[in-house]
Amino acid sequence: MSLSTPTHGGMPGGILQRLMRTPGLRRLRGSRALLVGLLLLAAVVAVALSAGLLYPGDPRDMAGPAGTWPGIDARFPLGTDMLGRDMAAAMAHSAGTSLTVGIAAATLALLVGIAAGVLAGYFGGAVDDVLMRISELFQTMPSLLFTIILVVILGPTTASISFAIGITAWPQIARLVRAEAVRVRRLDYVDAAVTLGMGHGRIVLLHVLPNSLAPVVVAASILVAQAILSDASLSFLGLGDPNGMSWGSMVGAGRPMLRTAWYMTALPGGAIFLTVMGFMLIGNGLNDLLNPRTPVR
Amino acid sequence: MSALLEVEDLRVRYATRRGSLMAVDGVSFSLHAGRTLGLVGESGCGKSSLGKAIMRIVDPHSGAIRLDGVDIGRLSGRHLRPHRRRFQMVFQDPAASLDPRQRIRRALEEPLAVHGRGDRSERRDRVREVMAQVGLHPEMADRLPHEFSGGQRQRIAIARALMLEPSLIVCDEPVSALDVSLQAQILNLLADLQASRGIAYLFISHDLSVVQHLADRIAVMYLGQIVEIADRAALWRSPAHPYTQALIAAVPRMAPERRGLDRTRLLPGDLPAPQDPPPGCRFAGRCPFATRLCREQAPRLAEIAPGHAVACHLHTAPDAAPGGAAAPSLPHFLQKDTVQ
Amino acid sequence: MSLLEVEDLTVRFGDAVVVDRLSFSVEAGETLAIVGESGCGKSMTALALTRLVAPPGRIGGRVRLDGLDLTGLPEARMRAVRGDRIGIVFQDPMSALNPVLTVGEQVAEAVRAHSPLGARAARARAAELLDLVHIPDAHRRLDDHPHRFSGGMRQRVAIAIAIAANPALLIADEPTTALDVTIQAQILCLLDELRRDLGMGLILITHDLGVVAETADRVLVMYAGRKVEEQDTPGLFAAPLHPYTRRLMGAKPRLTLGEPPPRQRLQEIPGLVPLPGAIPPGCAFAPRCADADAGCAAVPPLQRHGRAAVACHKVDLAARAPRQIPRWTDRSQWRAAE
Ligand SMILES: Nc1ncnc2c1ncn2[C@@H]1O[C@H](COP(=O)(O)OP(=O)(O)O)[C@@H](O)[C@H]1O
Ligand SMILES: Nc1ncnc2c1ncn2[C@@H]1O[C@H](COP(=O)(O)OP(=O)(O)O)[C@@H](O)[C@H]1O
Ligand code: SF4
Ligand code: SF4
Ligand SMILES: [Mg+2]
Ligand SMILES: [Mg+2]
Repeated sequence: MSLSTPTHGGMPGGILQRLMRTPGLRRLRGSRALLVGLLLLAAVVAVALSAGLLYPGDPRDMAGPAGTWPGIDARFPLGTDMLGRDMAAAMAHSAGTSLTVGIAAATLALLVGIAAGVLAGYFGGAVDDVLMRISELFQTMPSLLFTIILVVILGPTTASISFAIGITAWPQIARLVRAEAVRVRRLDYVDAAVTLGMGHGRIVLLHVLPNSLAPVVVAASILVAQAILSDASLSFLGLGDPNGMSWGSMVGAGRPMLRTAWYMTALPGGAIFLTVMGFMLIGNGLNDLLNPRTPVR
Repeated sequence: MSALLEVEDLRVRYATRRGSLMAVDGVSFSLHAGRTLGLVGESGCGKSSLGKAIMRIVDPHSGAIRLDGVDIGRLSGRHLRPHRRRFQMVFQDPAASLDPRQRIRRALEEPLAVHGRGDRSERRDRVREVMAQVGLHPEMADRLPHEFSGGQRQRIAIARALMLEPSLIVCDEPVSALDVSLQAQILNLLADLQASRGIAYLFISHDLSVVQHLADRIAVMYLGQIVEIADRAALWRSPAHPYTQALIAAVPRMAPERRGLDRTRLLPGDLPAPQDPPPGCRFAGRCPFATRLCREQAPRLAEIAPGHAVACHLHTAPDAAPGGAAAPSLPHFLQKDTVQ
Repeated sequence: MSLLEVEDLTVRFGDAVVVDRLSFSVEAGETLAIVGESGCGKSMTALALTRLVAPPGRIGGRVRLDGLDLTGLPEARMRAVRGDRIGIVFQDPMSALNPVLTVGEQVAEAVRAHSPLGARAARARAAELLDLVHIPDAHRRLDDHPHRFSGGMRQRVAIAIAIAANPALLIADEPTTALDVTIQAQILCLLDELRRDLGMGLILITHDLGVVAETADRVLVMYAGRKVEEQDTPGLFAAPLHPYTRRLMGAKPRLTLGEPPPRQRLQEIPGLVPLPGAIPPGCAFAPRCADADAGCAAVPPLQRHGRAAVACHKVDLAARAPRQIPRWTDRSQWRAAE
């Protein structure tokens, strides 16, 4: 009897169960990507949470001489920018902004994408056609351009930026979920639910939705990474929230000094890189963990 | 006695990329309470589609499905729900018939919840009772489906079908995915349940020996239509349709004296594409007895003996010998075997 | 000397023994059926014979084909043996063929892999082969892709590929399990015909005792990776020796022609087939065996008597087995009799 089919450890509960069943978290350790990713993410979150404690003041205030290179002045381990602001403080406060935007945008994309995907996949026919046409519309537009237009229209606040990024990202999720939902809808246990007289809503919520989420777990972390990058691009272009600080706007601000003081762009750039990398690694690691290539009996 | 289930001229149509397809094309039969109708035929002939139409998983294109006289083929949604508890289904693939994320208790309580039966403790009791009936330890109720073997999962699926005390269960190849030793367990369980609860089965299978074992009446399907239907004794004693005979001849039997299959007895070819069935008799392309009449005009299902109907010109065309199946001149796929 | 001689063939994945010291032989022109429930190691046996077991799995024991020891053969020479000397047909006719190549290309490919034929000659040979496996209009169907073929026709193509190089041994692993009975009968008939006409040894792996009865000369019954019984086909069906074989026969409803038999309960085999790695010590069948007693806690030795063999403490083979007479197809016995 092959038991390989019905193990879609979709929801977090499923993952947890799997991890717990693994003796000594062997598999988790086996997936080095996931471990490194989680460590990176933990570091960024720790910095974001402790930013207020470590640097209680406004990071936009001038703190010392402008253009101090990192490692020269002990008060400014990461140096100061061209306005004499503490790079370390700015970096720490930006971490929160980037994470917030990334997670908020990804959440929005997930909510819309999952809902659209499940409905399209389950009902098929006209519902499917309409929803998929709409998602194609979103996908054919260059997403950064679309995001920019939205931000310009809505005004540059953290909320509107998150909204603009999230609303352009949902189609990828919708397609993933739809493919799963189409598969699940054909399985006998869905038919069995029909023969009980269960309504569509209940069937979707109870059977189809939970069993269609497996690929989303992986996609979600990659989505956060994408959203952080998009946010950075927006800030770099000067479309970021003028009241907040972000790594993207720091890169943008440091750009004119690239030749003389490259650390001003390299430090926030590196932070973006590491954070995005962290989420990507988590995504890949989860993928290895949830879809092991070795057949499960 | 009027029948529990009466199916009349039922059609099921699918729209596919290669055009529309009539998977079930004018099927009629009836099934009495507490009996078993076996439905046999090659894969793709429309057995599951027929079962799913009766279960109202797919919508019938036309025709009537009467359960105790009520046409459930025309009811929908709210009006259908109260009737649903009367007819339930057991599916073929034990790996796909249970939600992998749902504990067995939830899966079994679900039918009661949907139909608003009992309170929490009554439902629990009913789960224990039915699990014991199908030979599962009630302590296993809190496990997930993947913790069970294929045979046990099929027992769970049967338990789920029993929860609402139906009078009809459609079994779609319930043992085809199981090993012989587990098949025997499930077949015995189905027989016991019928004896104790008086449940009627529509038992779908491509395995003739299983159908012979279980069914009181047998319908043979070919390309969406019933080509022969008869009671147990009549069908196995004198199978009348060339296709029925060919099917029986092809079944490997545990009889080593048949070593070295006789080529001449083999049925040639494959099931034709259902998108455009041949005009005339659908079996004509593979039938060694086909005539021009067969290729031009479809034979109608007609009684050749009380309760024994066949759709074949050999039995019904005007120049055929009177007496149909008993006619000595009738060519017979099984000639070698019937002289036992 | 037999065409194929297998001694103590063992396949293990880590601690799990999937095939356990299996010994058997196949003569040229003979059909040996290997029968058992799913998971008992039939497919692994087939893969081990051709050394195709995937990496974590390890193969032990000796396999000799026509006197050539395959066990020690370098991989490059083993590749030549596969296809050339041993042909294999698998269960699933849908995945056995490459969907993007035409059927003709795939058969010709198999022909050219083992002979120096040019493209045209290989194509002609491919048409011949398709004709040999009774594909109607073989010439015209060469350029069709597999999806234009039905399941049965695809299995015929897979067989044509397997016999392209005139192998001495053909292994068919559940070749008809995915097919309908009428198609199954066609394919079994074809395999039997090819075995006879090409003089191949045929190993037919199946879970269906009916298929065994109608096609095999000799039967090997496997349970939990071990051989529990081996007999000539008529002997096996007349008098199955091992309790498992007897139970297996009792569990399967028999199709009876004419008057249908009165209904009886089928004989159940309680419990489940043990998983590799969790095989009970002693007789692997003991937890499900009605005849088991304390003595069954020891592994039953394989008793042999002529061509029959059984592994059960409760069966005295020497006392029960019918007298063995020399076998017509076994040429070594001919010479011995001279
Ligand atoms: N959902 C569907 N959409 C389109 N065609 C279908 C669908 N289900 C079944 N069919 C087709 O209908 C025919 C009958 O199928 P089915 O009822 O499953 O046959 P059986 O159960 O006898 O094998 C087949 O040709 C099959 O391809
Ligand atoms: N890669 C593997 N790792 C561990 N066990 C395996 C692997 N592949 C197959 N097995 C085990 O080997 C046993 C024999 O399998 P198989 O030969 O395919 O059985 P059969 O063909 O008789 O159904 C099975 O119990 C299966 O679980
Ligand atoms: S009607 Fe003609 S073709 Fe059809 S089954 Fe009868 S004899 Fe054969
Ligand atoms: S050795 Fe014992 S347990 Fe095993 S088959 Fe024989 S009687 Fe049964
Ligand atoms: Mg079916
Ligand atoms: Mg196998």
